Amino acid sequence: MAIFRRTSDVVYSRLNLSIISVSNISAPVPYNITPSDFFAALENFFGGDIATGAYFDPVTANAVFLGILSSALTDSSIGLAVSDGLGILRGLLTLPLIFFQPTWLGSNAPGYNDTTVTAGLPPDVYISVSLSQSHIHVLIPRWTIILYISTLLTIYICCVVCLSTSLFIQPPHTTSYEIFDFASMVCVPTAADASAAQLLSGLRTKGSVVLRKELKNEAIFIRDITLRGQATAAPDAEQHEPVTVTGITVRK
Amino acid sequence: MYVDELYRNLFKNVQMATPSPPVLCNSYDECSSYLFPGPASLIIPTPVYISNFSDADAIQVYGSASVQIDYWKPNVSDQWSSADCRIWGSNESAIQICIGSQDYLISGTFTAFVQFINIEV
Repeated sequence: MAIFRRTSDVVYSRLNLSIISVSNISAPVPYNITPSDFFAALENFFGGDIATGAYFDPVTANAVFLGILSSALTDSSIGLAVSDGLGILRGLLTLPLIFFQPTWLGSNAPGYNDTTVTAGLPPDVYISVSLSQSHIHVLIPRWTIILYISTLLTIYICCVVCLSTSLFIQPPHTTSYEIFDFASMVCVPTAADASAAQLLSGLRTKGSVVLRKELKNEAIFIRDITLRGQATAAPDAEQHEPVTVTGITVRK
Repeated sequence: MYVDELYRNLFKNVQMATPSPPVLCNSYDECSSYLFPGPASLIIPTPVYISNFSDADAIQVYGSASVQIDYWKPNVSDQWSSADCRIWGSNESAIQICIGSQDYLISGTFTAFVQFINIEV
């Protein structure tokens, strides 16, 4: 691990003292701590090195703490992973940095109930503090705005292109006379009804004006043929609705 | 036990630590970095009990002395001598911690007995 000193502006929750945000972090400055400093700090937790002295009395706080620590790593029933042990070791090497600072366990550390600023501490532990009221804002990342606008613009441009293209697509040729439009599309000239079918099929690509001119000398008969469904004996049987078929007869 | 609670949950303790972009260990395995600006309870006189601004729900600290620590798993195991290590414990259980340093780089290993577990940082 590597240790750096920095300064930062920190916002804490007044409710639960959790760190809400950190800003204005200064450039990191490497911080040297020797192993002997670490061991001196850890001996405050664990007591003396048993390699150079006697074993702890098992009923002392140091021995109980060590028992908890070693059993946490050796008790298979807890199911501790090696990564957990790594976290414990990192925590043990980090805690001295937090505990043994001038404002906590230092020889001139202020008391929690002090109402005045303690003098004689290192200059970098004197800070200014303000109370503030936090407001919750939704901060939308710039990239989401760019992505959203780009997507919308793409869809809009596609719509405009599709609509413009559709204007140039020739629709089916129609006239004001729907029945003739239909008949002209479906009529296939045969030998038997060559005259009428040929006349109607020849009207496929003509407009209303041409249609009127072409047919002005023709006699056209339009009739409806109604086919009724046959009644059945069963009272709940389905009744067939009348079917109307429109027929066209052209006579020259 | 306060120390016991702290070392187990130090990196999840939102009053003590906050994740930070690593300074040094980006190219190493299991790299993580935390900034420790110190708990607000160490601000004395404490601003928590100031009562003349009841609407305030945040404490803003300017220029707080902080420590940032990069953690990673070394690619090569260190060789330890007895001078690098300390053993603490009773005749029932014990732990051994070995610590080495080179400038501001700290390496350590941790061994717990009865069952042998060896972890390096």
